[in-house]
Amino acid sequence: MKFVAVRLVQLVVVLLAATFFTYSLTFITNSPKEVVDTLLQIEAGAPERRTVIEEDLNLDDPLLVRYGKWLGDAVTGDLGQSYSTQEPVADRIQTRLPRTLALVLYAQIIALLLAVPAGILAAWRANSWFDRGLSSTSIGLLAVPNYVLAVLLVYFFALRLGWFPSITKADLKVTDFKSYLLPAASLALGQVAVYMRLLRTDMIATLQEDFIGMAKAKGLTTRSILFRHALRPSSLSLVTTIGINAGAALGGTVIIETIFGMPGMGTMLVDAIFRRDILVVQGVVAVIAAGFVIINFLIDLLYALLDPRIRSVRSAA
Amino acid sequence: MIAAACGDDDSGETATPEEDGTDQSESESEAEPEDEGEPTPGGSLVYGLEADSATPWTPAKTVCAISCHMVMRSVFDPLTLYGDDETVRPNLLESFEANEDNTQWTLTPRQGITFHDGTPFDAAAIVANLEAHKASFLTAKALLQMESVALSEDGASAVVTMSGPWGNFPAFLSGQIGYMASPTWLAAAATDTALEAKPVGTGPFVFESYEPGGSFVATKNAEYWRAAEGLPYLDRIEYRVLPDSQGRKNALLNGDIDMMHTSSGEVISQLRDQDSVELTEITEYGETNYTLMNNGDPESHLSDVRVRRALAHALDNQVLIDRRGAGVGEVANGPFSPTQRGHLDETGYPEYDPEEAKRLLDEYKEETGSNTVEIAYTTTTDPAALQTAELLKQFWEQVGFTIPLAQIEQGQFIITALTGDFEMFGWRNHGGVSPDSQRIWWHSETADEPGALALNFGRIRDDVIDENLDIIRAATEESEVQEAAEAINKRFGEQVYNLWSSWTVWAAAQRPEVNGIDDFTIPGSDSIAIFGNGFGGSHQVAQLWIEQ
Amino acid sequence: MSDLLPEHRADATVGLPETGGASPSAVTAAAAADDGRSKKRRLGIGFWLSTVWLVVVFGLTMAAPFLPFVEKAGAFPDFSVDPAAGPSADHWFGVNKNGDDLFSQVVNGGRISLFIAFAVVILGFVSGGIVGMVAGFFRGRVDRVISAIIDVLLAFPALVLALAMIAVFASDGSTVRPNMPVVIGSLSILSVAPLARITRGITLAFAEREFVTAARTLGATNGRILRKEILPNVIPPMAVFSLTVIAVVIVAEGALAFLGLSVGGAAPTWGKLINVGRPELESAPHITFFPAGVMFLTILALNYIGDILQSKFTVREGAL
Repeated sequence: MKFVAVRLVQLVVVLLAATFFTYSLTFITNSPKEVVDTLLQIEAGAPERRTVIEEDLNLDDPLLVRYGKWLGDAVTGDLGQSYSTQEPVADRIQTRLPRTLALVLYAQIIALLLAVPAGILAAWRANSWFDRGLSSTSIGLLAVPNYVLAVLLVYFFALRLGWFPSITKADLKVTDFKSYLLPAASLALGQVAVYMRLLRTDMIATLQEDFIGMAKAKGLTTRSILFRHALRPSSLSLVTTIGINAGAALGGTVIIETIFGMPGMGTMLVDAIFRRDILVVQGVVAVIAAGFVIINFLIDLLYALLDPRIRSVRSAA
Repeated sequence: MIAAACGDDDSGETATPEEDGTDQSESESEAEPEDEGEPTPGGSLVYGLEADSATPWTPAKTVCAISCHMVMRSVFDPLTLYGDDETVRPNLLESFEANEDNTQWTLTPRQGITFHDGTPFDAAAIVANLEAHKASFLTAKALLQMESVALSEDGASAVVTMSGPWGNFPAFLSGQIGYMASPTWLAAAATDTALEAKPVGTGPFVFESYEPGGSFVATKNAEYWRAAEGLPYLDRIEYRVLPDSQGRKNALLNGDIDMMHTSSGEVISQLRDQDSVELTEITEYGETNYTLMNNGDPESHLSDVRVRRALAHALDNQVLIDRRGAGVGEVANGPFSPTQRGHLDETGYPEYDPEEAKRLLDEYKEETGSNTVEIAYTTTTDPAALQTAELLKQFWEQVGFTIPLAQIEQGQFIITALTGDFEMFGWRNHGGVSPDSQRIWWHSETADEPGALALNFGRIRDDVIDENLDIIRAATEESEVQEAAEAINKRFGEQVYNLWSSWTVWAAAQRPEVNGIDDFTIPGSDSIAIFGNGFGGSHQVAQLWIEQ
Repeated sequence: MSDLLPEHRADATVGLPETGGASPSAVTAAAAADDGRSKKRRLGIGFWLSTVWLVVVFGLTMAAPFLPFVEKAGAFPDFSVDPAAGPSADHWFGVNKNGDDLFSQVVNGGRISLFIAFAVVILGFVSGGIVGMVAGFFRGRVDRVISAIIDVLLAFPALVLALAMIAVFASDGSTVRPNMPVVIGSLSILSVAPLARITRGITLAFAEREFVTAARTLGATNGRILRKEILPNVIPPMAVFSLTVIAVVIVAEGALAFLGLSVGGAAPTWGKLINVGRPELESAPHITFFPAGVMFLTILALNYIGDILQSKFTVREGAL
């Protein structure tokens, strides 16, 4: 419990710092007047709109107070409005965030579905031609930027073969697996290599433990030994890395969503940048950062749950 | 009318149809079945748009480009429409009538029509809409000659009083100014801006949902005033914003969308070879692809005509068409495409001549002592548009200019032009039947300083152009219009306020099951509405039907 | 303490957030995972092939302005060549729709990509290195503050933060037009925090070692210990790690360029070349495939070399 409490405090501190950083970024190079100028310009607003915008942004207050008010609003689900589309930022995030999270989730699932069997087989037949082949393939996969991969996948599977859509639907549902497959695969393949190699190493170590020898002696099938007995103790570092990668994949979604025209957080961010809709940029970045921190936090907890040693070490510290 | 089209999805890449023997003045249909049969109601249509170009959907607070018109026309009906004989006919109106000298117009609405929210469409609604435009800091510029609008004595009509003769006024009511929005909704949206994204009109489809930059969905208006004719046939129409023209085409070929529009020559040429889609190419009253220049800043290099001429001389437009538009189209020499009034075979616009360009630029450099002449060119985020920009840049830099490139989001394009915060823009505009509709783009009365909103995006202030636009507005004789428009065309050729590159070719492409694209009849006549009302990339949607 | 993450995970987390594909966290994690085998591994043919490739790419891009067979960036195009024809003796990678020689574009663009990557890594190496050494050496409050800042920076997916910075700093009139300093500054988010973190970890370990304690008892000042004892030990693993960071920055710059948010200028960088080739993917796939291939091989070579050297040099926290 103490561990959870300590981590929770850290989580809040990092969240505060990250959102403050995001918030103040807007005002670093631009004076409040310039910010209002930009907003007025992007909405093609009448001059009398200026005072309205100034009030909306609490521009009379000092930065910290302003941030406080912004944070207060943000916590209650009000991230301001887009001056380019006159729409509450939070509304748009609400429809788009699930799609982006689903993309990350599917990418992880695809990565694991490929990596776990491959990693186990590689460990089981360590240093065989199969193992070496996988190892070379994985280092190759790591060198393909996900946007290059996405372009290739579109070329072959959408344009050439016509199996999957080259763009996603505007009202994309998170259960529209056909639309999700290519984008998720673009994000996943690089991670397959990471997961596979991590699992392979841990698995090789596990397979040398006594209990595996005993299981063999008992005449259990190879499959049962590998998947039932060896996998779980070998997956600790894998679980950790999934957390880090899942969070990091949030960053990768920006470009993948752009390529597939997916209406998620990434396209929202890029659109907002080109529209100079800075409040939208601010809101999206804050939400992504928060999501990233929270995912890492949850994985940390999960990790502690899987491995009691961490818990005790951390509480002692 | 504001109802003109700007955008850049594919500009600089396109022009008129190939010389394949078709009549240029007709919209040309390829691979279209001879007999489409009787329309069947039902079905849902997904339409790929090039942009999300409206900011709010209140007609008085936006400047509509092609995509915006597509969306607007599903929810709103215009007061009038152009028939295929170039005559303006009443649409939502029962009639329109002018007094003797065209200074007063009486607009009488059709009876029994209601807005989607139940508000009756009547003369008061017309007054409310026109007053909203009059009060708009944006669209009021299009109605500068409109002094007042009031109910007639019997309350059955709206009476519009002008400051001078305006014979072409009804044509203005066929576009953005004529889209009738529910006064109840307008009033509510004035206080709650979030409502601006939920339009309420009398149109064939009722607004359902809108996601900026994503989609716009509307469903069949069962109470449509032309329901007796079976309109609209579709149950639902969904617009998807797909700025990447190739992506849009792939979506159509993949069956992800049912229909799309494009002005990309590259895409049109690819679709011509596709048996699985029907293609309708539109060039009549077409627009021009060009480089829009900001002439408003006296400090700018662009304020010198030699610089502008040098920029024009430096461009080999045929190469641009061949390379960037797959050879689809023809080199343009002015704002008026071959089927528009005012078109001339010789306008005096500078031909490709890099030597002359160099000479003019060097002369300018020497005189002003500037070593580098830097002029920024802005385009959209579409990769094809960016490549077009790269090629333009190479032509210009070849003769000694320095051309930084910038990209902005498609939807932000018009607003940036309005505020004048640019030097050169890839652009597409000036389609339409009457030259009078170009007035707002060129007349000095709409050319405000950069920073202030100006519909005359290029901030052109030219006495000759002003004078001739005034003649056109007051004209009663067709020959006057013709002569004045030609004079404007020549003036552009001489002063080079914009760099014309090619005539726009628009195409609508759809799956073979989708029918009825050019069958929209104007109510109370057997005249078919001009495709896109003169703006090729947009068209009516009530008449579309899907073979069940 | 790098409190966000348990110690075990240090190997995996010194890496950087994912940016476009070749995530360095991935690479380092993968390298770490290879423990058992790679220590025994000799450099091997892959290593030398990678080195040769990198030498060729660096050599060509650096010497580009003086090479007769590389056209100047922004040179007037050759309209006589059919873009769909693909590679030929005159145009080794073919030409694009605009008539530009693709080989020259890839070389000239690579020059900018690599320049940005090196600038970002040097920036991270120096600033991250100093900060990390200070934190690891002095510990206590200094360390806590520095580590907290690093944690906050790492609390953003790097590409998202870089985009946010570009949105703020590159706004120019009505458009977003990033220049070189803005792009380098924004991307340095990829190098500073991770290099600081890894340096801190290594310093932390070395500061405990006998030779440091010995130097201290002999009366050496902190500055002298840092310079003479710690620095020489910290640099090799940092340098090896930096190889991976270079790869990551190349990919990340490509991502920005792909989105149209990297430097403008005459020579489009690799990411932009890949992006602008997309519309022609069906009619002339080579326009996309050549820059993508060169980029792939360069990343591969950097990762491969980094991978091998890492297993030879890296001092892991766990091992200390």
